[in-house]
Amino acid sequence: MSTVRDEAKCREMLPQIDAFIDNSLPNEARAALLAHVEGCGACAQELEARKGLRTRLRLAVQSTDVPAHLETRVRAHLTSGRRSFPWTLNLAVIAAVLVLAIAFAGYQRGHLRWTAGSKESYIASVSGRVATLMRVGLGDHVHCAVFRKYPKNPPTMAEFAAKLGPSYSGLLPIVRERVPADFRLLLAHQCSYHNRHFVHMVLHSDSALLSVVITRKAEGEAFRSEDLVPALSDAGIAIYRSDVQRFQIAAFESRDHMVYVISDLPAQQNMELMRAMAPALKTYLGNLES
Amino acid sequence: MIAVESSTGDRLPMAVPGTSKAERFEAEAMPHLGDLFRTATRLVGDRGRAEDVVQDVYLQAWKSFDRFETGTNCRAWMFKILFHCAHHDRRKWFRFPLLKESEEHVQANLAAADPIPEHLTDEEILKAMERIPEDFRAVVLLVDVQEFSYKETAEILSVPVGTVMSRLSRARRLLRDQLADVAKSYGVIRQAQEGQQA
Repeated sequence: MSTVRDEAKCREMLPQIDAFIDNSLPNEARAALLAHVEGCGACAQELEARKGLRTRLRLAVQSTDVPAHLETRVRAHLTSGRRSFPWTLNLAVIAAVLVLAIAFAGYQRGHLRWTAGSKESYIASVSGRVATLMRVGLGDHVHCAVFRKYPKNPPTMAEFAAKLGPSYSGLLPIVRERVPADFRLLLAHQCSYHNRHFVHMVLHSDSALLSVVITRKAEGEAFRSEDLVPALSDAGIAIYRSDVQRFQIAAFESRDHMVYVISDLPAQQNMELMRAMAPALKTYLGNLES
Repeated sequence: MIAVESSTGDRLPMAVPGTSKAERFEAEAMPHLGDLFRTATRLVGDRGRAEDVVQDVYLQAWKSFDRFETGTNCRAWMFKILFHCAHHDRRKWFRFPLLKESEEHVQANLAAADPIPEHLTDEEILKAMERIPEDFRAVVLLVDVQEFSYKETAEILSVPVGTVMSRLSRARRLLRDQLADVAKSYGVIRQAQEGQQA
């Protein structure tokens, strides 16, 4: 490369470098710039530096992970938007809706700004397409795990164990040891949804949300009697599966309980997690049942 | 609730069978969710608020999707809505002051800028980006990161193409200054460490 620098030419070319790397320079100007850069070390260096910056910026922004629940949230908001805001309503009614919205603001701050109505309509929209007994676990997962704002610092294992109580705290190590290490335990508690009692553990990786949901059977409830066909039988345990939208559901039953693994993982991975957990969970629940 | 099966097997909850609006929305608008969220995060500086903004973007897009012409650039259209929503979000929260630098200050800077330091982490690059005024950050996000053309960027931001070019040039320069500052702070730390070892 030439070491003699034509300052005037550089002065003319430098402002065009940006347009060059953005593919916005006309052909003629592009050829002139390339010819100059070939003979000018300083401008060649500048060109490489700007290209490098552009690449690094792109990679840095793209490294931001997108929350797994965002798509679900957006779709649900679209549903509630259509239902809750019929735009033809007169202004007085819209004002009333706004007043109600403000009244609930305190509640919403901790709960992702969802209203109970929009949550329920979303849960109904996804539940309608899976078998009745599969809905039981799915409903609690969406109600309790998806629509929740988690604290930045989750409680300790001891606190989780206390929330589950002596009967169910032994489930924690069973679950923890069988899910991949990149899943963090976000929540373990006993909860109620639609008058049904659940033991619920929620785990989260960078890209997936996973629930293990356990509930006692009501009288007459059994996967077998609902004519569901198991997806596979492993170690004598029939595992059932279903899916709706992004949710994968795997389930099995013990004598008195129904157990669900629900996540937005790929179907196969969700099923494998259930296979890994099912024998130990069934033994544990069997001990409680006896 | 009624739903329509999309090409990807997902269902759009608000879809109505027999109409093509939901299917078109699914195919044309939904694939941009990730890029919109990443851009929103860099614009508003907070993931939680970025989620709120993206949620609003999709609601606005759905409401005006009848006016969107199939075959035109849906991605650019979604980003235009994003900048509109992010602007409203900022006004609502008042946490991010409008950092503006007038166009008159933008000059072609011919002095050789510092080279871009190596070994910078993504986080440091993003921090540098946060420190530049929002108008400049916007063009960097659209042109450098999302690879929109100058013309598309001008339409998204509702400014002339010449303004996009001058802001971009200035933004890149500001970013390099920020990154050079980070590199200098490394040098100070390294010198201190070497001093301790000596």
